[in-house]
Amino acid sequence: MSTLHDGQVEIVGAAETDEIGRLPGYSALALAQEAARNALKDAGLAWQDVDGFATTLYLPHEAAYYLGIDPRWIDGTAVGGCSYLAHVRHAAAAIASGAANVVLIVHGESGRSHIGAPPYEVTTNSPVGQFEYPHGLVAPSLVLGLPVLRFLHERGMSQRDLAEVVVAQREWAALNPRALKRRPTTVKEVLEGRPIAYPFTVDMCCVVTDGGAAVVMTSAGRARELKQADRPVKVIGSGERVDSMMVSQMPTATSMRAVTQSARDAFASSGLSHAEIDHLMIYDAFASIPLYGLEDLGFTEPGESGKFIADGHTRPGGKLPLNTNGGGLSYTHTGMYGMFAIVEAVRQLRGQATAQVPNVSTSFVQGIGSMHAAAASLILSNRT
Amino acid sequence: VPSSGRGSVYSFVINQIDMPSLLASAPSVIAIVELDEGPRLAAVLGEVDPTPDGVQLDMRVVAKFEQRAGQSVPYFVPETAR
Repeated sequence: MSTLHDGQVEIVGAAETDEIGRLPGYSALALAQEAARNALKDAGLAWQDVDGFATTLYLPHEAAYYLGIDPRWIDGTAVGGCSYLAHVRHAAAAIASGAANVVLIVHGESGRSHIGAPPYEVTTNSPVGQFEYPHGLVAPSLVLGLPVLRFLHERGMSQRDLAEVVVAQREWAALNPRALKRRPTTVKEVLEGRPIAYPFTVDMCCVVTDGGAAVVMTSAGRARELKQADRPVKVIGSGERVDSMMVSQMPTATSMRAVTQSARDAFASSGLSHAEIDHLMIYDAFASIPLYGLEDLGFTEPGESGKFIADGHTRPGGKLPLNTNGGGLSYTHTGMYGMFAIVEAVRQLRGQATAQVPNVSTSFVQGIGSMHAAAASLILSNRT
Repeated sequence: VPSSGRGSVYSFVINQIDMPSLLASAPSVIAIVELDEGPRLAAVLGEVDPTPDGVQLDMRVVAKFEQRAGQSVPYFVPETAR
């Protein structure tokens, strides 16, 4: 029997919906269906080949029935936008152990048009509902924005460092015709943008879109018989962690504990060092997250993340290309963005990305979920 | 933990857009207050200018309570405000 991270599990299909953006003609499930169909086509597999299934946002059985599949392995792990990264990790374990052979993981969300979308509710039955929601912490911009001023202060950074994140990622988005915001911008323009939740201005907050994305996974043995046989993408490291749902109870505002732990687990399981990572995706719901991410993942020292980005290291041509689709800030963000980060990493590893980075052989994908309360990490490689 | 109701601003965010579901209208300041006894909690900051220069990290604050739907809800104001 193979083990989780020894390269015996591959992502053999990866795709998005035909369009992303404003799609009022699609329900959330219809977006999931189109993404799944495209991912299976990309893999050269059919619906009846799927024997494992994972999703979130809606119930896995509800979605499986809608898609007309009959899985013998099911995962509905719901830890926010990084759920799909956790699903990939769980699917790798399932495939390695023989619990499933072909796993479909799907995301579809009508984040902009709200068609067929489950309601978002916070009730007084939860600690967040009792102790944070009543004080006005009702929007992601406020919850994820709340620790940022302390983080910037302790790290010797400022609001300007948040703007540099936007400027750098917009350079990637400018290369991507599917990106929602493609016009290059400046620090001054970002800082003078419409105020949303100080220290965030509008371009420091993710775009809000409709769309879907999906991946298909199977064993390395099966992958050799499939369409992408000469473009393997192997799962060689992963991690998943959780923390308090209450932002006021973060152990420190200067670090996202679940991210730090999940990334550490992923590095340890892969045996890779930071210097061996060619490409990086950090779930960027807001401009603060790539700064936290670079530091918590250990790619920069604490306090060096802003300078690292301002110096151009994460831009096209830089030594650590980051969020190369434009990210949630400029490309797309349906609400649970994680699957789009995975799909972009797969494309880079196959050499099929819109803004292709030369010679990518490893990619690190970092997700966050339920604000700072959950995290999942993947290390993917095309090395055979 | 018994508390004196005094503490300091650990971090804050200024809500700058009106959302119908918000209980405090924009602009308003929401903070993580670190009580002198140690615990942290989220609460609205009252009697401050809701602008980037109107609130400072580590600013000293003290708890007040407002009655809302039969419940006593804490918020904090600058120590100098009373």
